[in-house]
Amino acid sequence: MDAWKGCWMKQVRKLKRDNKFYIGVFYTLNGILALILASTGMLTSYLYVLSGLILLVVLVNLVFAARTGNPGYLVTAVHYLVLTLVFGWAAMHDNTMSGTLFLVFCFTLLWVLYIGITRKVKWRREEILELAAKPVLDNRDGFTERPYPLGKAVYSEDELRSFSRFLFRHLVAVPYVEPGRVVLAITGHYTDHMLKIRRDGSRDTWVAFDGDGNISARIIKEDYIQYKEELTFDQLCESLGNLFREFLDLHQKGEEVRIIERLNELKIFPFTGGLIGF
Amino acid sequence: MDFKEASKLGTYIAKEHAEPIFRLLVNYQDISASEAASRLNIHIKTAQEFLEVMASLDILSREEVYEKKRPYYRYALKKEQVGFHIDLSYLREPEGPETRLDQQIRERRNSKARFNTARNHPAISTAVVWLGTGRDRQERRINLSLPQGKFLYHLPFPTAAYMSIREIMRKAEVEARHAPEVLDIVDLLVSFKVIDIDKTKK
Repeated sequence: MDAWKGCWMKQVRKLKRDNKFYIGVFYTLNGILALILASTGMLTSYLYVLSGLILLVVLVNLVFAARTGNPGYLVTAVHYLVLTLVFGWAAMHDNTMSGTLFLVFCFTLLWVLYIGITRKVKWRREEILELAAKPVLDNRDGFTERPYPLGKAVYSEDELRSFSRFLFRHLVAVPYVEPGRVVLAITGHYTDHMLKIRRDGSRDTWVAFDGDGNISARIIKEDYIQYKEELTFDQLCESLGNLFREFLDLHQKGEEVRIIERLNELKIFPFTGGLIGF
Repeated sequence: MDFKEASKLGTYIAKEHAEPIFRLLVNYQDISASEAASRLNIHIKTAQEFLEVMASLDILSREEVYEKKRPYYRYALKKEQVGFHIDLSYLREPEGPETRLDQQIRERRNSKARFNTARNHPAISTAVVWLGTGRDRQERRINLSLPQGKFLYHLPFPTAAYMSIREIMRKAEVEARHAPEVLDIVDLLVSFKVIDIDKTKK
């Protein structure tokens, strides 16, 4: 019980509330729509369409799994595949439900809820921005589009590559290798990145590590205005860069699990950031 | 010769009648505007203007003479070699005062400037500033040299402490020999209200 309470407990947050679509709302709305359509005789067509659309969601989840290396997306892909079958079966059998499929669906739903609650497929933009804001106590604004140079760190090319891969797999940042540097994009537009609609981090908040050990950080306006207050911008950028410097240090020491612990400590509602797996 | 004089000389040398007039000046002892105009079949005002400008540039001598109580000028060539010699050193920025490098600066709050980062250097590649208001608003794009870009990359944020130009150059690893171009971009961005100077320190 305490674990669940801890899960939902609100901590003092510096970001405004996330208004993204919640998974429960999706199922509720679809349930209501299905009831309405059932009374108008259009339910079968709707179920076919829904089945087809969710099949696309399966494909998207497989792309996410392939690109990030995150196995959680395989779980969500299976769940949505089962959902496709449920709706497809119903459409082909006079809108009736298959008992077996329904049981399988419930099982996969529980599995998805589990990985959702444990934040295995949660993109960590909010956690990063919250952690960056934690040590910033002033609110003197001072926003600028320029990146903030943070000085140097010591790392090898292999360490940086491994670190980037780790962050990508755990949905912390999307890495982009540019001439002379690696840019880690901390994004809320992860679907655009996964489907290669966005092909670099130029429109996202990022932290960059170059070949000479220089670290720099840039926060975009879209993310900055998500804070409740106008936090002093140079302090915020410095804090963001130092956060990733700390993460790199933990990775170099083989203590990556502590990075995930730091992110999870914030106990941000696990189902923000859209539907699980999308 | 300064730029203004060189520009004037260049403009008149480029005219179609320049060479014919000079041919007359080389071969005649001296000549008047009306004589040159009639000889070359050009308007007297054209010839007069040309000769006056050459005289003002000390290429021709000018002597006032009287004929039938009407004064006019006769022009003679002072030298047969005409060239451009512009000393550019006067254009050099006064690197001077070392005190300029001690000026404390930072980015101005709400400057509305946009900075594009270079892809393979920790440097700014271009700065874009909007000038004017309303329908007269114009975009001014400034392409930066590498030292300037590295310097601006390390320019303190609007809420950060002021830093001296010298210190920013050191941090950005910009060599002292690039100080004039750094000061030039600082002056430009100060005029565009992108950079603030700390006026409390002198």
